[in-house]
Amino acid sequence: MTSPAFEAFLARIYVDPQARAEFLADPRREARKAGLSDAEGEALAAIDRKGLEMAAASFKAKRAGR
Amino acid sequence: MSRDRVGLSWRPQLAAGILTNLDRIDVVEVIADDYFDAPRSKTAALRTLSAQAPVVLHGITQGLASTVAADPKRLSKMARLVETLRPASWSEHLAFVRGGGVEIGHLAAPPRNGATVDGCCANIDTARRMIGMTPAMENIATLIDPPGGTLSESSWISQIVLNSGCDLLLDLHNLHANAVNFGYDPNEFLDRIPCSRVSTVHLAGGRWIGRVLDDHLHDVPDPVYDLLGELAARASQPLTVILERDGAYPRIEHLLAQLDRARAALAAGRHRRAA
Amino acid sequence: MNPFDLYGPQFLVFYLVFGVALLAGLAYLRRSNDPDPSTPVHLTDPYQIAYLRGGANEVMRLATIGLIDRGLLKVNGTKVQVSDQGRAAPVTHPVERAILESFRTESQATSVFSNAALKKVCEPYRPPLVDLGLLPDDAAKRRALVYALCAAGILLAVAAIKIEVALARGRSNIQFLIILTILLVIFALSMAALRRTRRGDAFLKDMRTLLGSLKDRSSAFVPRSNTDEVLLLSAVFGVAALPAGAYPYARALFPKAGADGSSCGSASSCGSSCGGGGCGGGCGGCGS
Repeated sequence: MTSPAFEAFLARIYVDPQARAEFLADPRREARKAGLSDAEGEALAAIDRKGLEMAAASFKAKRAGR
Repeated sequence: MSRDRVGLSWRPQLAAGILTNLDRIDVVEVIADDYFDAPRSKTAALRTLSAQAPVVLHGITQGLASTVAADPKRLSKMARLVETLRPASWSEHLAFVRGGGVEIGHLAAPPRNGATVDGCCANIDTARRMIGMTPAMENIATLIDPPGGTLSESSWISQIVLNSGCDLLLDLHNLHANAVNFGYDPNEFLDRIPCSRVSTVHLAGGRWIGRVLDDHLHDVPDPVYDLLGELAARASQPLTVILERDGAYPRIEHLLAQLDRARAALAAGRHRRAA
Repeated sequence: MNPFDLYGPQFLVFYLVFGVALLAGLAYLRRSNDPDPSTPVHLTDPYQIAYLRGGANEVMRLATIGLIDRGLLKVNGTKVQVSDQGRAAPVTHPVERAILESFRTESQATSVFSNAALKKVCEPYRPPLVDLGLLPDDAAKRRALVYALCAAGILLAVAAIKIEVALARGRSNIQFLIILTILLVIFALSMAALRRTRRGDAFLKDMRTLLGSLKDRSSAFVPRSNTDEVLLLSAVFGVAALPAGAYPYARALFPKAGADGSSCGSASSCGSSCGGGGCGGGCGGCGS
């Protein structure tokens, strides 16, 4: 099960390139720093990395109004 | 409503084409959020549009599929618009759009687990109480397999629909995109969701960027029409089918031809069901 | 305090305020029996909308432009003629038939406006618009005329009394009062004619809002490819609002045709931080 903090974490790595880079460098560390549970950290560690980059690019384009 | 309806999403660029072809367009879908903070003149014009053709409302910023409670201010805006327009229905997405004060900028797939099922159902209930009408909820396309999931997409959607009592707005291009991107059979997906709860269908097109992107800038591909026929064969209730196009607008005739193809797919599916 | 005892400039101020208040009351009264303007109306026929906007003349402009776009009329400067009698023969729409007939031989485009028979063919558009509450009925028009005449009469009477009082007291500098009276009376009489109801005005305004800015879409206009849309846009905004590049004859043929709010409104914006698809609405793909 996931929490509001998990969604907040996802929102941040979707939107913030710096946060995303730090996350990809060490997902569990970044999850711990955000106060997420171990289970949430493990789920993030297994994230679909290709999809993450594609989604982030798509969200950026949408925010830019394209 | 005793028969299927086929229509278009309302875009100013298509306005003249839509208004001159209402004999071929059964319903028009309007993006509700465009009118939340609009001047009165714009909302008045929307009422005039609703006198020309049936209008349904489609929201994009509520972010109801979340463990975070829905924003009552945003819901109030939808409530005011629904009160003004008195549409037959309104809809939103099975998505979250913000978190921790960060606006994502579009619809994001939440983790598919019990917490988001419960959160979504609670938000739908809040929306129902504030707006006086339960929304139909739309499945979204996603480029990322959302982390933190314990349920399949079909199970997650089914639990939300059955627990909240909402109808399903089944976006068949989103289904097609997710099926291609994450390797499952869309017909099995249709077998696993409560098709009897589908009230509305979206058709759209996209493009390949390494995964299928649902961009609403391209024609509806053949597999999506096939899925429409499959759905029509499974569902006995009338369906409202909306073609979504958000740019790269062709001539209206081209879009109307896609509506006709949708009607043919519906008819073929209904025929198979009756046989 | 008797206003007629006021000295010249003071009386002029009083008369001006009195006149403006009277005209404001006239403006209110002449439409006080109008149907509710917020009631939405079902109306998409371009010829009916054109009649609502500008009467028979507007219908004739629209039909002429439409027939040119369909290739049934040809243009030679400011003159128009049927391009092909054979293709024109099957046209059944009464107004279009009448326009084609009027241009059997080459004539000035504006000749349609002096054609009484053509105007008669356009008149059937009026009754349905009255029934919809978009145009005033005869009773409303009579009321507007009576109110305007009463207002003009009151203005003249007040001015006449003051002039008589002034002359009796040996004052002859009444020219400013006369000028102000003439202006106010002209204004009052201009309000005698009731073109549309408030509901009719609201409907046209809503259609202009819905159809947005023609200028934004001028590249989408391809002559002879979407006549129906051209007719609707022309009906709402006026033929003069058509892009000159695609329809150069529109303004040449009808130079006095007005354009209504051709740049009014803009395409709807998403209005939120999460609205994908850019201005024009749309979720731009309901998913990442």
